[in-house]
Amino acid sequence: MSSAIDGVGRSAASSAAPKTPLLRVEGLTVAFRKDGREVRPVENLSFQIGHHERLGMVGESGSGKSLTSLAMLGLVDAPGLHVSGALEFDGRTYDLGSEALRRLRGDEISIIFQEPMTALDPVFTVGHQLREAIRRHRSVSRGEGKRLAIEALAGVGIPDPGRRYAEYPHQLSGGMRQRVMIAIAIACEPKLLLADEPTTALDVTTQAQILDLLRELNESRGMAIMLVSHDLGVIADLCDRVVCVYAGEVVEDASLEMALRAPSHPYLEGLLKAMPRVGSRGTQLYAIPGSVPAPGAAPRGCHFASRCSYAEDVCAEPQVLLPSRTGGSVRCVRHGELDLVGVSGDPHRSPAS
Amino acid sequence: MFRSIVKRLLTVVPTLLLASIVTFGLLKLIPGDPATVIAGDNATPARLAEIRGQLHLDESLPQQYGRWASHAIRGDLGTSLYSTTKIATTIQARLPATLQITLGALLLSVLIGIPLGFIAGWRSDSAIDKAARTISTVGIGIPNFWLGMLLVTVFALKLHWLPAVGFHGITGGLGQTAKYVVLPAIALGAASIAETTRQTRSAVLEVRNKDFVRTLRAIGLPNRTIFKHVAKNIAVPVFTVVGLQASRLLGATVIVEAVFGINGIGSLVVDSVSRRDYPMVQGVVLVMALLILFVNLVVDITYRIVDPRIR
Amino acid sequence: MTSSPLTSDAPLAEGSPLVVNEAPSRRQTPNRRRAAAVGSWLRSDRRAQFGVGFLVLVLLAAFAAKLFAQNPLTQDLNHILDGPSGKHWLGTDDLGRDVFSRLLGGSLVSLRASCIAVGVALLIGVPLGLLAGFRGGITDEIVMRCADTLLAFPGLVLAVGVVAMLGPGLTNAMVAVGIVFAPSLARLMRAQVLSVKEHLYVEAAVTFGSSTGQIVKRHIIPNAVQPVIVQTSLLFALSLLAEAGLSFIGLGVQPPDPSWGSMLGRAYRFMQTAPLQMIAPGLIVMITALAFNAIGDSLRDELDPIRRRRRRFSRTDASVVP
Repeated sequence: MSSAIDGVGRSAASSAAPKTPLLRVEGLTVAFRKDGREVRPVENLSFQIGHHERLGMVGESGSGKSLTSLAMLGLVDAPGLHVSGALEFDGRTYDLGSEALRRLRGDEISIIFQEPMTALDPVFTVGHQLREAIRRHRSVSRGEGKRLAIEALAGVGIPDPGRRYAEYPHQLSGGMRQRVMIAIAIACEPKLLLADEPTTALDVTTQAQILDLLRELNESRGMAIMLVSHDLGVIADLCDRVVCVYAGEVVEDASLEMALRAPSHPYLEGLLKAMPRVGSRGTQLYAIPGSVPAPGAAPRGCHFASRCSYAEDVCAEPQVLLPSRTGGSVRCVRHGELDLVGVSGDPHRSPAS
Repeated sequence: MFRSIVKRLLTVVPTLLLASIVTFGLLKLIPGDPATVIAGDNATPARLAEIRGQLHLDESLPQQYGRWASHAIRGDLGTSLYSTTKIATTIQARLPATLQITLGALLLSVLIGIPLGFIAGWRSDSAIDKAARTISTVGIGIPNFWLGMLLVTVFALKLHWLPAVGFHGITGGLGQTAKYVVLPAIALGAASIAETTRQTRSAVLEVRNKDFVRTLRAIGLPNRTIFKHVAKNIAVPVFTVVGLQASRLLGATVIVEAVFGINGIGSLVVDSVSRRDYPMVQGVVLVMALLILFVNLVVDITYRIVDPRIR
Repeated sequence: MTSSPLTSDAPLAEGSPLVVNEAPSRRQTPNRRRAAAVGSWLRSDRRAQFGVGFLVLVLLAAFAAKLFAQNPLTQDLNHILDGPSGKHWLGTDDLGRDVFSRLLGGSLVSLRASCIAVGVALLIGVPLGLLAGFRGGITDEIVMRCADTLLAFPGLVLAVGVVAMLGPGLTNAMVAVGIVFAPSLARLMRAQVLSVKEHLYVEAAVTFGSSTGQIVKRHIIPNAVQPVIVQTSLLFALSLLAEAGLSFIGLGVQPPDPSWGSMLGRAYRFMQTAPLQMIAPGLIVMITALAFNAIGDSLRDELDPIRRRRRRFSRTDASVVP
């Protein structure tokens, strides 16, 4: 069985990691001082995204994934928080937290957030906000801006865009607001769209529609997408590759298929087991024991060891990312000895949708 | 929006009714026989009868109220017991002085409080923020009349820069008026400046941390645009605070006018208390309540125009 | 029922001034735990230390003065408007009375006056707010309409009006001030009741057949107490300033009794010749008001779980840490 996985894994890995990635994050660290000592909610985190790729970053809430996406764009500027690391985008290297990186934001990279409810300014019309975003990137007249804005609303599947243009966010449904957010985010025609839990606040049907819209934008515009979510079902629905984050570190990086069928890290296995799936009605839903450690409170060795049923003495040592049998990488010294269970079936027919 | 404004206008009716009853009721708080209390123990029966007639004390309460209210609606607040002048005329003559220092103080709250609070909230924990917080803490705690006394002592009695007491109508030229208004306006307005600063700061701080501001930054909009968004978002809370200040300031004139020897309606009410000119007190209280009801109405209607969510 | 606390993730209405409080089970915690909580509050917050410390100091000094200091009413017309000296630490007033002992004597008068106003406001505002919030409907409409009307009167002017009718005097003046403050407490209380009522556990309590009295006692009061305490300490500051103002214009405390406001009233008359007379009483009014405000602000942060967390993490800003 393991040899079969090896074979599939290698082919998937070669397509998942292209030669020159669109974006490479190297050693991203977010630190702040608490009670006199330095705490790092995100530590030395590295990953990459290929051109046109749809990457999913998964982890429980508190694992550092949202902070990662904010820090990448220099959106964490709270006093006392220190962001370091490097980011390579389209062949150019930027220091994280530098002014040059800030200029990438809203130009080459855009982001949408979880709460479409609060992500739009309640006292300006949808059209006004969209027009602002458009005119930031293109010097067009007000009238032309309006025309483009209405076009953009239509482009994200909003019916009757002319009327919606003049409405306020509170007059729109959650799904509509998220569509508006997407329209604003892609107004600059970015090469990469970060989507931070974009569907968490939406109902299942709307969730599927938004994911469809993202896939369509990815396919028609060639825009790469990084989807950050705690929900593997959502990621399985959209992404090609999965980066699994725990306690501010990457614990596994694998193609979607491998991640689902043959996880290498016990944490990913736990997340898979915790997914609700068709046919599991009546059986107790699995939950990983314990909870994500607060920043600075993780065990010194493998951060997951305290919650891991496979943990042994060797896990008390600091862990490094190792090549995994499935062609990705994994931060688990025991991954070779473990035979972890994934889910079967077509990954794009995700269990949650 | 139009409907909600009309609805708001309609709520004025019961409030006005209640306010007039409260004002009318004030006179009924006088313990014992009002006529005796007013005229004093050694008053002649003729004088007592005169006062009873003037106050219509022989009628039933609803009748008295009806008479008083129907006159009040027509602008007739009765006659002063002290000077036999029309109450409405006296108030009318005294009102401009009060309005001038009140508006002066309100202007200071807006011109100092809002920008200071905005900068303090925008750059929280900066030196300006710390200064603004200190100023507003002290401003809220300082007794206005004491501040007035300090200002008079320093700027009028010692430095002779500004007049100590008195009042100058607007007809005498703006510069002259400003000279007389500035010290009272500062004394009166200190607490309001402090409150406006404080509330503006916390409104900015709250809005600044909202998701949509993060969105604006995420899509690369310049600070200028973000500034505009924050400003429009804090408009309603800040406007509410400024509206409340109008009420606070008008009340505080009662004490501050005494410090600066200003003949406004604030000092009128205090003087009338010591002269036992009850109808005059009643008249001033009513006029002040009307002014505040009017300000509240303007504030509420403005909200509905500014904030789409309240429509 | 015991495990149904209102937690900070309970929904909060947009722009709501409410604070969602911690579990009502707090009621059952022993006094020792409560004392420990007060202790930790005092240790952790400098504003609280200043506020409580200053008020304790003023009270101690006032009572000590009753026993040891000179009589604040004793006149010495040979030494009027004197500057500070060994015998009169803060000098004498226009009738040769010792300013320092008048200041201390005045502190009791002023603080008692504040207590009257705050007490009246609590006695009127809290039950009416409770009633309005709990009964709803027409009761609510009437109570709130009355509160709105009272709020339309500038506080001091209504107080002056009431004093005018009832006659000058500290008690009358402060009762009037208390009446003026009552609507704000009624509003606060009502809002608290409404927010508690919204929560499932009260609905559950209703279906389980608890009586109205029990619901009020077990669920509503414990939750509403904290914001009312905060508001009360802020009202103390306002009452103090109101007392000073009313006594300043002669409508509050009557001579020869000392109060800080009436001392300032006398000082006003000698502003030209003895400007230093106003310094001490003015300063003490201001610092005492600041002390009450400091306690109120500090309590507000302490009792609000969201703000407390924000303060503890003030160096990082909790909102960006996921």
